Amino acid sequence: MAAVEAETAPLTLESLPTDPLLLILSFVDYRDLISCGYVSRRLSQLSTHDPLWRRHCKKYWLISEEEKSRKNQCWKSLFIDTYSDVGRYIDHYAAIKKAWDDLKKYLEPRCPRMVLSLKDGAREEDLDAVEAQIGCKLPDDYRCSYRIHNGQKLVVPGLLGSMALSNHYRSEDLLDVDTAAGGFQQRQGLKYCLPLTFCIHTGLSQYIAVEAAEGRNKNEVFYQCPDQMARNPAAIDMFIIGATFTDWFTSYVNNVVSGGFPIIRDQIFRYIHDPECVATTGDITVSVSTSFLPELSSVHPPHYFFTYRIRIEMSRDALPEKACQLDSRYWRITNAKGDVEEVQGPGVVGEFPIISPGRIYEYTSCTTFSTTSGYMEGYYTFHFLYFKDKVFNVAIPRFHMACPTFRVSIARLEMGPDEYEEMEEEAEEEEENDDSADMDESDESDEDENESDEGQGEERQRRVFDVPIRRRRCSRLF
Amino acid sequence: MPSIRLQGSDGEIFEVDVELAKQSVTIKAMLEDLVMDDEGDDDPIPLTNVNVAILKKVTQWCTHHKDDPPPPEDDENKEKQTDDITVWDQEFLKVGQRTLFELILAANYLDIEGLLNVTCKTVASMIKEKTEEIHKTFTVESDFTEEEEAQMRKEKLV
Repeated sequence: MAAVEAETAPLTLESLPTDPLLLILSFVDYRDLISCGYVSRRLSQLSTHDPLWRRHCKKYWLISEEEKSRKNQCWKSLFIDTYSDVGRYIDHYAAIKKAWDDLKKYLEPRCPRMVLSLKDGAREEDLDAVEAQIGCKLPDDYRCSYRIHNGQKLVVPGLLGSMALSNHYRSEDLLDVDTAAGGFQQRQGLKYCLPLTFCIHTGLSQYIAVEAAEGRNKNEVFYQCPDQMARNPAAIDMFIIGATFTDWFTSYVNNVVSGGFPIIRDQIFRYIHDPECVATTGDITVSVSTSFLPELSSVHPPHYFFTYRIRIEMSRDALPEKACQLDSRYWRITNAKGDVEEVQGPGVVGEFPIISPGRIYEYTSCTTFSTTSGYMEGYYTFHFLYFKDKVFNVAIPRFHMACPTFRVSIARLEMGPDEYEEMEEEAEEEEENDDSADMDESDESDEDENESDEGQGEERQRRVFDVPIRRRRCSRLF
Repeated sequence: MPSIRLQGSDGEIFEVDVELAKQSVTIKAMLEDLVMDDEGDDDPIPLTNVNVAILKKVTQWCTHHKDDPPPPEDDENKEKQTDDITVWDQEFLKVGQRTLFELILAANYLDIEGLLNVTCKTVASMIKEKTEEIHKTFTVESDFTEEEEAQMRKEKLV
């Protein structure tokens, strides 16, 4: 009987019926699927069952049904062809391709110039040539991204975002690999650092460390921040923006496509808005977003520059007689040490905006801290347009500002304590002559801060080094 | 609890709770075809492709999983994983290869989706990263000719 025969016949993978075998193969990774094809004729035939390969094409190469019909190929051959082109990046490809696809889709209607400025992907040979030129290997995820798009033509607006204050404009373009290679750093303090971005107005760049050196981890992305107090030009502190190229690029793209970074007049502005940072008084809502400017900040001396953008709006449904005009502002500024400063003055950035139902008013200003973080809060005073004697306050929600993780240069650690004393005196002399940030309109001029930053141990991620800093000027514009 | 009697391929009779048995789409369909008489002694349902030993294992699985929610619709876009087998299932499937394959055959014949999935995932995880040793792990004889083998090695697709 069939039952008896079945017991004595060997039961192997081979002898399973087709449906369960295909189900087993559907769970198996692409490498193993290929390996199965070498085992026996039947497995070879089953492993080429095309729907099995659809899953791998979608997972690793993000190939859509539509693209497959366009290319008129079967899934398996699509997989193999793509593998022979970019197989070495298979572990990174999906994440990076998705980031590019999402970014372009989001920017096409909003920043068409930016999308048009993207260059076609570089070829493997081009990337190899750059490696030969700089004498270092490029990270695989970097190469993968550059196979998709070779940076931007150096035009405004930059893919990596802009920032505008009254006398300071910056826009970071994504460099193509050859231009980047031209900026490859060999000097002490920035060894093995390749620029990723560049701003033609300010010369600002973000760098990636292609090799570990001078206290940097391999693949870190950072802004350089020269140590102004050390006499050693190799003393360059760093604000760390990403642990790897993928980390840096995908988190940037997420911030853009989620609407986190506002698009203003076809440029991306890297303002960070905490959705809870909103205050409503009556019909008026105030919200704030902030941005850290590394190019105007330093760790030594501690000077952390932030810009903030405030949005004041009145609900559309408010009654017309609610229309009002801003008279003055009051600020309460607290740094990480708990030092508080109060400031008040007429108008905002020299204006006295009128807010009426449905109207939105936005303005930008800036502030600095001598600590790595701080917060601000306050209120505006308004009067009703039609009842000029009636005044009322509108709350500004508390908003926090904190600089990115930073790392102190190795060069500073290697300095002896004696060099320090000398530096201190020099720094103080310079301070008195120094014209602090010549930023825009301010009613209150520079405040003299007699803060003493004794021991900066509370600041995060530092190589601890006690630097008593006596007098520091901190110019603030509210 | 009403129960039904199943007859395995070896002739042995095995009694099982009706609700449990209905986890098998095959048995459920058979029951709908037959008229169920609560009082009478029904003829056992013949299952020519499953022996009672395996039936007992299958019942054990079905008992443990009787309160499972129905599996979600097969979403083609959802990533297929092999690492989400529960601890109980892993222990349950620590059996010889032969038994594992018999369970697959039984789950396939009886059409029990959950059991089929978990047994196939288990085999898939055994294939994972075996590369050259799939032959050995599963004692499969290669039926390729020498020329064909040489050709395949030359191609080295991936």
